[in-house]
Amino acid sequence: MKTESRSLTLALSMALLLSANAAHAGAVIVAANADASTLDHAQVQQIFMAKANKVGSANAVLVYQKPGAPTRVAFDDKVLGKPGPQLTGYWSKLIFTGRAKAPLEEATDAGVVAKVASTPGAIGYVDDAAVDASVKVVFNF
Amino acid sequence: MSLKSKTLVTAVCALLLASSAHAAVDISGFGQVVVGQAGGDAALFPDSLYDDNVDWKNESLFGVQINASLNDTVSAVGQIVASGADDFEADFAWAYINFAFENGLGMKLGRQRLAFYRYSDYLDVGYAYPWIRPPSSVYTAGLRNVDGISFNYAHSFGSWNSYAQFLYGGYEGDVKVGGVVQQQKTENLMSFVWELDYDSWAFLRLSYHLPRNSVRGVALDTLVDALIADGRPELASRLATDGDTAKFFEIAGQVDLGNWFVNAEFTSRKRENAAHFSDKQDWYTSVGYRAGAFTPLLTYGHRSGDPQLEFLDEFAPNDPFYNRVRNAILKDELDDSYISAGLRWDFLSNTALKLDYTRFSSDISTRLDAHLISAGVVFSF
Repeated sequence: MKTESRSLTLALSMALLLSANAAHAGAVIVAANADASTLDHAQVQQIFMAKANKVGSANAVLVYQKPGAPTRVAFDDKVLGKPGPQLTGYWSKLIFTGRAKAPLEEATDAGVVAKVASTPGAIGYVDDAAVDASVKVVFNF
Repeated sequence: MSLKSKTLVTAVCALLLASSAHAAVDISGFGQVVVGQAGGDAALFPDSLYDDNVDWKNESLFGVQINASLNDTVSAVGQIVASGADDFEADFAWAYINFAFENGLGMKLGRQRLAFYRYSDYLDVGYAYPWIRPPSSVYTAGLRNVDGISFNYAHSFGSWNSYAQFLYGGYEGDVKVGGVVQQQKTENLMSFVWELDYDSWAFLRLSYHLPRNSVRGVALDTLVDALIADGRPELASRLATDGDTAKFFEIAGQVDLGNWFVNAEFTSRKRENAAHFSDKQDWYTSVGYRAGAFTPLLTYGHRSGDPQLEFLDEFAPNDPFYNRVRNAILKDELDDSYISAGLRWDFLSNTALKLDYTRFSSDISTRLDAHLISAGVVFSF
């Protein structure tokens, strides 16, 4: 009984750990029918920082999440390497010198999936769990 | 701002808002409120409007930008800035038609900020840089707006990103140099900018600018006019800035290690046909450390200028103009140092507090020591 409950606790904590990990795993997505294939870290960085303007053969349409959203916090930190204010400052420069247009912003993973699936050239990032058949994953973080 | 330009601002805003039914319109903005006070032996902090009174207006400003995407390629962009230094009268900093072609090529037609120094074309956007103002030893140029055409080309290879810009244009109107308004006409301006970055940790920028300037409303006018009245227009012309070509070269770099970052910028100016103006070299280097929401910074800057006294050979020592010309030339002699300690605190999203203390000292005895303490809140949306 004692051993059993111990393994149950272990199993439960492993399950919790796994789900916690899953909550922090993110995916960069494009529409399922987009001609973009797998991207590497540098390419994702260049696209989301408006240094490269193509997703496959289409003009990139960036779909960010709202500041403070957990997936955005993870993406800013792990992929772009520029947390909160640094990224806002970087975009202020681009927008107010006319180098790039402000990215679209969605409040939820579902909103990003819907926008990416329906907009040619759109690229966004979501929690792994939000990926469905309307989009395909081009990078994992 | 004249009634005419105010009407224009209103008209363009109305047009952009009305067009929103057919085009995607983005509105964004930025601003800052800065308070500062100078002290020391000098009456004014060099190249500024700060004296020993507390001032809330000199560097405070509000800006709004309207971007209307007309189609996949073309957008119309207007950026209106109201500066405290101009009593918050709104004026267009940018008003251009932007063409974003395939493959990273772009073109802008209309009014643009000149990318003279590294931070020049977004000097108003305090949120985008760490200091309360980019270092005073370098950021002294008065000309900010250009009406003309520019081309830009962005290209990436591996982790390298290159951005090149060529601009051709001119400007005619009032320009502020160190708070003093002068009438300036700039023609045939050619400006080349090239930026290269690696990943997000190394950045290099080179630029070269060739304006042809005519300037009135400066201290030198009285002397120039007196020489003309004395029947020496040729010497007056050599002394005055009247269609003189200047050559500006600039190099800037940054290494960003995530927490630590180091910034530096060097600029050199040479003037042709202007007999007396010195060649100038200005630079700064700055080191900062990001500790969570806090970014403390230390900056050292230097300006040097060698007066060209050869022009004095045109005047006999007993010439009544000899001393006046000599004094005018010597005003250009610079050997100045700036030391700054600053702090940026990103205390809320889109909002930061900045503090700065700068000490100015000069090895030229007529240039008196001064210091400037300032604080500001900057925002961007």
